[in-house]
Amino acid sequence: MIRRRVAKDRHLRARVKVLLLAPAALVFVLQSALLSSPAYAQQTERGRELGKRVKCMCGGCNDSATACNHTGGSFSGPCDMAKGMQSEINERVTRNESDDLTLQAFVQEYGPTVLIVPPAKGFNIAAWVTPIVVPLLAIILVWVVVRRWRQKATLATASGPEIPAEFLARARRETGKDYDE
Amino acid sequence: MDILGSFSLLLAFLAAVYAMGAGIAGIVTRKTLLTKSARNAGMAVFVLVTLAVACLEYYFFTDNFSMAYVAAHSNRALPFYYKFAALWAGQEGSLLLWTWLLSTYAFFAIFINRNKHPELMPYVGVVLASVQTFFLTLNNFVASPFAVLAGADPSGVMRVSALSDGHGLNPLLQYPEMVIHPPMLYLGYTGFTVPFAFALGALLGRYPGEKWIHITRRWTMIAWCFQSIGILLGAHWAYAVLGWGGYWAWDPVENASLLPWITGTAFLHSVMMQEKRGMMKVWNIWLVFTTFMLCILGTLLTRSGIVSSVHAFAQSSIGNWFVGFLALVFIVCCASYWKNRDYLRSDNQLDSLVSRESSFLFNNLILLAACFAVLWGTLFPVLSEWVVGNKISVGPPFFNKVNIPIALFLLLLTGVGPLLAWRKTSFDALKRNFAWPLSGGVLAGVIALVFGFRDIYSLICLILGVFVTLTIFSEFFRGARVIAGRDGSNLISAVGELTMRNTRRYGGYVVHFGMVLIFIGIAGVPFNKDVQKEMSIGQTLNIGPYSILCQNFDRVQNGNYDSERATLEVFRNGKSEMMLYPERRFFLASQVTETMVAVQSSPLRDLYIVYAGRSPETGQPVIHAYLNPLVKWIWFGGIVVVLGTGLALLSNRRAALVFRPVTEQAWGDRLPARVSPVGAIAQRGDAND
Repeated sequence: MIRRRVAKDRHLRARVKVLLLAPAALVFVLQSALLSSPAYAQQTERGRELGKRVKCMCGGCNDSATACNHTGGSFSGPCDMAKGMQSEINERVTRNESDDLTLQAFVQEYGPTVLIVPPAKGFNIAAWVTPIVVPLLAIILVWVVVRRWRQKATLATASGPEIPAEFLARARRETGKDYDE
Repeated sequence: MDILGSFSLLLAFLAAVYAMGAGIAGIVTRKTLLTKSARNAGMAVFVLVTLAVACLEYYFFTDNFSMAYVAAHSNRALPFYYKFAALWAGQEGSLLLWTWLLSTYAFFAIFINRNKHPELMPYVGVVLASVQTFFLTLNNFVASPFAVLAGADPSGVMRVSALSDGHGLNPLLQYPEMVIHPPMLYLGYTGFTVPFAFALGALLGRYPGEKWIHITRRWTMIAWCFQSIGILLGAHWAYAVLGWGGYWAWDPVENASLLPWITGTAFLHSVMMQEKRGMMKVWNIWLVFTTFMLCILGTLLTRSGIVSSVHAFAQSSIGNWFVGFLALVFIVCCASYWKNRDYLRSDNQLDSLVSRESSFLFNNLILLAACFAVLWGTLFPVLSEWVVGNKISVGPPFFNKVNIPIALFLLLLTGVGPLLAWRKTSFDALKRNFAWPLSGGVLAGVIALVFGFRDIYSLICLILGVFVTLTIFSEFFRGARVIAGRDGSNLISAVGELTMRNTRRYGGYVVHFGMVLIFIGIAGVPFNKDVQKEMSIGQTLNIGPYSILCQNFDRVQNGNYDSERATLEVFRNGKSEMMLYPERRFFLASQVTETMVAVQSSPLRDLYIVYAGRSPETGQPVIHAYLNPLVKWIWFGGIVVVLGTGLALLSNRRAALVFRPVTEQAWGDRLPARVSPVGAIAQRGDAND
C-alpha cells in the first residue's frame, strides 16, 4: 500500500515537473528557432528583403530603407534617403551582386550602423546571446531558491507543534477520513 | 505677471527643499511641529507649481513671444487646444509638466494620509520632497521655461525683445492624441513615485508588515493604468500620423516607456504573494525601486541624446543631471535595503511548485526577462560604442526576435496562473481546470490552420489567446454558477455580483482579457500588405478585396497650413463602399510637410491610405495603401484594459449583516421604532480590500 503510494507520488511529481518545464523549454526552443532562421520577414522580393536589412540613414527614424516613410528626417511621405538607398540596392540586385557584397558596400559607405541589426560577430555576439543567457540563469537561480524554500518549508512542518491525539481522533470521527499522526 | 511664473517656480523649489530638510529634522528630533510644517510645505509645492503652469499657459494663450519657450513652440494661428498642448512641446515645458504632475500626486498622497500612519508619512513626505527638489532644480536652474528673449539696443544695453510671431508647434504634435498622450504617459511615470516613496519610507522607518503595500496598491494601479493609456495613445498616434503603416517601431523612447510598465506589471502581480502569504518582500521592494529608476532612466534617454531617437529632445547637458540623480537613488535604495534587510524576512515558504505562488514567480521572471531584453537592445549601441568604439544599430527585427517568444510565454502564464490554487494544486484539479480551455485553444488553432493561418507565431498567439479567454470565462462562469444556484438569480446578474464582490480579482481577469485582445491584434502583423502607386485622376489601385479609384486632387488652405488632398473612392466587389481623403499638409510657421492618413477601420482589417506626395521623377501623385488586419483589436483591447483596471480599483461589495429599525404595528396603538434583532442583508463598500 505504502509502496504504491510512493510510486504514485513519484509519478505525480514527474508529471508536475514536465508540466512546469515544458513551457520554459518552449520559450527557449522558439527563441533559438527564431535566431537561426530569417522567418520574420515575409517578402520574397530580394531587393525589398535586402532593403529591410539596411537602416534608413535619414536620421529621423529607426526604420529600414524599405519601410522608412519619412522626408529628410521628418515624418511624411516617402523618405528621399530611403528611396535612394532602396534604388541602390535594386541596382545591385539587378547587377546580380551577392547579398553580402551589397551589404558590405553600404557598411563601407555609412559604417556598421547601417545594418539594422548587429551581425553576430565579435562583441556583437553579446547582443544576441545575453537576452537568452540572462533569463536562463535567472530561471536556474529561481529554481535553486524555490528548492531551498521548499526544503525550509518541509523542515518547518516537521519541527512544528505536535497535533494532540484527541484532536486527530475528533477529526477522524467528524470527517470519516484517516489522518497521519 | 511676466515674473510671476518664474517667481512661483523658485518659491516651489524653496518649499520642496524646506519640506525635505524639515522632514528629516522632524524624523531625527521626533518633533511633531517640524513634521507637520514639512508636510504643509510639501503640499504648498503643488499650489506654487500649479501657479507656474498657469502662468506659462497664460503666456501661450496671450501670444507672449518675448518668452523664448512660447516663441519656439507656438504661433498666432495655432488653434487654442494646441496652444494648451504646446506647454509640453519642448524640453523645458515638458519638464515643468512632469514636476506639476509629480507635485499633484505628492499633494494628494500627503493630503489623503494626513491623519493616518504617523510613523510612516514623515518618511514618505521626505522622499516625495527629495524627488520634487531634483525636478525643481532642473526647472529653475537648468531648463527654465520662463527664459525671455533679449537683444542689444543701439546703445548696447540688453533689453527684453519679442518676436512678431512664433516659430509654431511641431506639426507632428498637431494631432488630437498628442494633446492627451504626453500627460497620460507622464501621469504614469510620475505616478510610480508614490509607491516608490511609500516603499522607501516603509523600509527606512521599518514600518510594520504589508501596510505600505495596502496603501500603495491603488496608487500603483492608477500609475500603471495611465502608463498603459499613454503607451497605447502613443502607438495610435504613430499609426494615425506618421504614415508608415505601423504603431510600434521599438524606438528607444518607446522602449523607455515600456520598461517601467513591465516592472510595474510584475509588481502588481507579486504584491499578491506578499499580501496573501507574506512572501517576496525583498523582491517587491526592489521591483518598486527598479520601476522608479526605470522611469528616471526613460527620462534620461529622452532628454540626453544618449541614444538616437525620433522622440528625443535636442541634445543637452541635462542628461548628466539625470545620471547623477539615478546614481543617488540607486545608492540610497541599496543603503536602505542593506541597513533594514532583516525587516524583509518572508513569513512563509513555497509549499508546492504547482501553485499560484510559483506561477507568480514565473510571471515575474518572464516579465523581467522581457524588460531586460528591451533594455539590453536599447542600450547595446551605447555599450558597443564604449567597448569597441563601433556605433551599431539595434532595430525592430532584433526586438521582435527576442521578445515575441517571451511575450507568448507570458500569454500562456496569463491563462495558467488563475487556474492554480494558492499553496498547492492537485494533478486532478489541473486536469479538470485545463481540459476544456486547452481543447478550445487547440481547436481554434486547427480551424485557423485550415483557413490558411500559416505564420507560426500568429498561430501560437491565437491558440494561447483562445486558451486564456476560455480560462477567464470559466473562472467567471464557475463563480457565477455558485452564486446563481444559491441566490436563485440569473447567470448574468450573478456575474455582476461575483465581480463586485472581488473587484480586484475579476477586474484583473478583465485586464487579462484586454491583453489577449491586444495580442490577437498584434498577431495580424505578418499578414499586412501594402501597395504604392503613382496615380492620376481616374486611375485605380488594387489591394486585397479593395479597388481604390482616384477621383480628384485639390488644395485646402487655412492660416495654419496649406493642404493637398486626394479624393479616393473605395470599391469592394465592384460596389462603392466609402470615400477617403488622405492629405499632405504644409505648415506655414514651421515650413514642414506632414501627412494626414485616411483610415477605414473594421474589426477584420484597416484600409490605411497615405497620400505620399508627388513623385520627384514624374510629378505624379503617389498613393501608398496598406491593408493591416486586426489592428482595431489593439485599440479595443486597450479600452478593455483600462475598464478592467477601473473595475479593480473599485471597493469590494460584500454581503454584511446590519441591523435596521423595524416599525411594528401593535393592536390599537403605534409603537415607537425599535431595532429589530432580525438582520437584513445590505451592501456596503469595503475600502480595505
